[in-house]
Amino acid sequence: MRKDIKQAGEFVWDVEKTDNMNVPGRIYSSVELIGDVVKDNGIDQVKNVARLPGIVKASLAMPDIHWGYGFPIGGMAAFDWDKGVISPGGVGYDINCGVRLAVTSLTESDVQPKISKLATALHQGIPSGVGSTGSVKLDKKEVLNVLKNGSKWAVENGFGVPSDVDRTEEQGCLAGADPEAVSDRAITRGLKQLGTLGSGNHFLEIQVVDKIFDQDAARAFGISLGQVVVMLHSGSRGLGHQVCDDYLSLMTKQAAKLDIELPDKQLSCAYINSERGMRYFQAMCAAANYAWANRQILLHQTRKIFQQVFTTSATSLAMNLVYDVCHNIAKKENHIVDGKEQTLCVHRKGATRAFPPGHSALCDAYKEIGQPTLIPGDMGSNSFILKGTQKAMDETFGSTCHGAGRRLSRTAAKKLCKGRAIHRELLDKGVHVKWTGRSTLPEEMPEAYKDIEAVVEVVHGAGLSLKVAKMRPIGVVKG
Amino acid sequence: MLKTRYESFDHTADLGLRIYGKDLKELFENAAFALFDQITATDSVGASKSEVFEVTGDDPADLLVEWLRELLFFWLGHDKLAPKTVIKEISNNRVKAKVYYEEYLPKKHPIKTEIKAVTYHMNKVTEIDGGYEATVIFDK
Repeated sequence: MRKDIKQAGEFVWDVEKTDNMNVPGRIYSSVELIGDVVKDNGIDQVKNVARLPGIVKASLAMPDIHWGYGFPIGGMAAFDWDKGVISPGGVGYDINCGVRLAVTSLTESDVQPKISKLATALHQGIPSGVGSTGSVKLDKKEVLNVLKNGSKWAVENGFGVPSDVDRTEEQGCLAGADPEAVSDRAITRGLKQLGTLGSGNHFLEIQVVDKIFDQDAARAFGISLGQVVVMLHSGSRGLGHQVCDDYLSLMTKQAAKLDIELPDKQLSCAYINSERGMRYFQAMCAAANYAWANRQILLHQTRKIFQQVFTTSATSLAMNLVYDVCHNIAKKENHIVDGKEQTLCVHRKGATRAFPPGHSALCDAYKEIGQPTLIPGDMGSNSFILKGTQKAMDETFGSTCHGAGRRLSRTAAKKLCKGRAIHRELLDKGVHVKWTGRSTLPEEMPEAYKDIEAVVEVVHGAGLSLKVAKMRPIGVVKG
Repeated sequence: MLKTRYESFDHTADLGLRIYGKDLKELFENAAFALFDQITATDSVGASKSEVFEVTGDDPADLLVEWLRELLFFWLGHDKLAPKTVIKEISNNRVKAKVYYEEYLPKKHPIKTEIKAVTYHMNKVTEIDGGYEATVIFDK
C-alpha cells in the first residue's frame, strides 16, 4: 500500500497534502475497491489536480475512479469562480456525457415475449456505432439554435413533451452557452450526428425494476417493482470532442505564459475570469446543450419504436422521463465553504450531481425527496437510481459516482475474451444484446469494469446519495 | 535499425501508441500511418489525390500532436483517409507535408476503431539509439 494515502473512515481515504499541492486529496472507496485504485495511476492524478490554482477544499475522487488523461475519471474538483481555473481536461472530451431514464406502463411479462424483436427494432431505428449519422438533418443556422437551447429546441421541434424539459438537469439548457465560441470544425462534426447513440460504453437498455430500497422515493420517481424502464447513455458526440480538443490546444500553448506549473499537459487550463477561460466555458455550455438535445431526440425515437412494437399509443405506454443527469461537466454553482457561500466552478469528470431535498435547482416533483441520480452499470450488469443528500452537499459539492469505472484496458479485455462469445454468455443471463462494431462486445465485457454494486455501496454507505431502486437489463443496444 | 514503425500499449482509459522513426521526417510519416492503421485497413486506401498540410507547434512533441490532430480532423470532419504522407519540410516547430488520401467508401474501407481525439497526456518525443521514439495517447 502506498504511504501517501490513509484510511480516514469506513469509506474515505485521505491523500496527504505535499508542498506542491494547494489542498489535500480525498478518495471515496472501500476495502474491497481500494486495491485496484492503488494499482492504477488515478491517485497521482488526484494529487496533480490538487496543484491547480484556486482549487477549494480538496481534490476529490469517487469510488469508480480510474486512470484518465490529466484528471482521473471519477474525479471532481471545485475552483473559486474569481481566482480559480477551468480546464477542458477536467470536463473530458465527451462534454455532458450523461444518462436518462424513462419509465413505461409495461411489466416484464408484457415485454419478454417481444424482447428480441424490440431490441432489434431499437438497434435498427436508432443510429449507433462508428461514423453513424443521425436522422435529424441540420443546417448550420439550426445547429446554432440547438447549441443555444438544448432540450428546449428538441421539444419545440417535436422531439418530446414539455415535461421532459422539467425533468432534466438544468432543464436541459445551460444559459452560459454562446454558439459563437464553438469552432466551425466542431459544428462540421455536429451537423451529421444529432440523434445518434455513439459507440464505446454508450448504450440504450431495456431494464426491469428488480428491487426497491426506498418506497417513498420510488413512488415520487414513478418507479415500481417489475416495471420495464429504458435507460439511455450518450453525450455530445464529435461536437463535444472537438470543443475539448480546440480549447486544450489553445490552452496548452498559453500555459507557460500563465505561470501555472502543469505536471501533465492534459491538465491545461485558463483562469475562469479570462477571455480564454470564459470562451471555453461558453463553448462547453453550448456542447452540453447539444448533448441534451441529442438524448432528447434519442428518447423520442425510443418512444416511437415502443409504440410500433407494442402497437399502442404514447398515452397508454406512459414513457415519462424520470430524470436526465450529466456526468462530464463544469458548472457555476454556489456552495458553502468554511461556513461561507462561495461561487465555484465545479468540475465533474465522471461524477454525477446529487442535490438534496429542498434544493432550488430541483423541479417541484422532486423537491421533497431530492434529486434522482442515475448510475448506469456496464453492459449486462445492474443499474441504480439513487437520491441526492445533504451529506453530498456538505462533503462533495453535491456530487456522487457515475458508474462502474473501467478495471481493464480495452486491449486487456480483448485478450481475456479470446475464444468466448460474449453475446451468448449474456443471453444465458437473460440479456439480449444487439450491437454494431466488431470490437464492441469484447472491449465492453463485464469483467472489464469494476463491480457496480460495490461502487454504489460506497456512495450509499458514505451517504453521498442513497439507493432507491436497482434495475436489471433484459435488452441492450450498443454501437 | 528500428524494428517497427509503431506499436500499441495499454492505457486503462484508451489507446496508447509508441511510434518510431530514424529521423523526425520518418517519425511523422509513421505517426500518420499508425493513426490510420488503427482506424482502417491501410492497404484498402488509395492514394491518387493529395493535399498539402502545414502545421506548427511549440516543440517536436507538441508539433506531433498538432500534426495528428489535423489528420484526424481530415477523417472525422471530411471523411478522408490518409495513411500515406510525405514530409517535405520539417523543423522542431513546423511541418509541411503532402498528404495522400482517398474519400471514405463504406464498402471498400473497413473501420476498425473510432478514434475521437489525440490527447496531450504523457505525450513526448525522445531521441533513442537509431532515431526517435514518440508516445501519443488517443481517446477512443
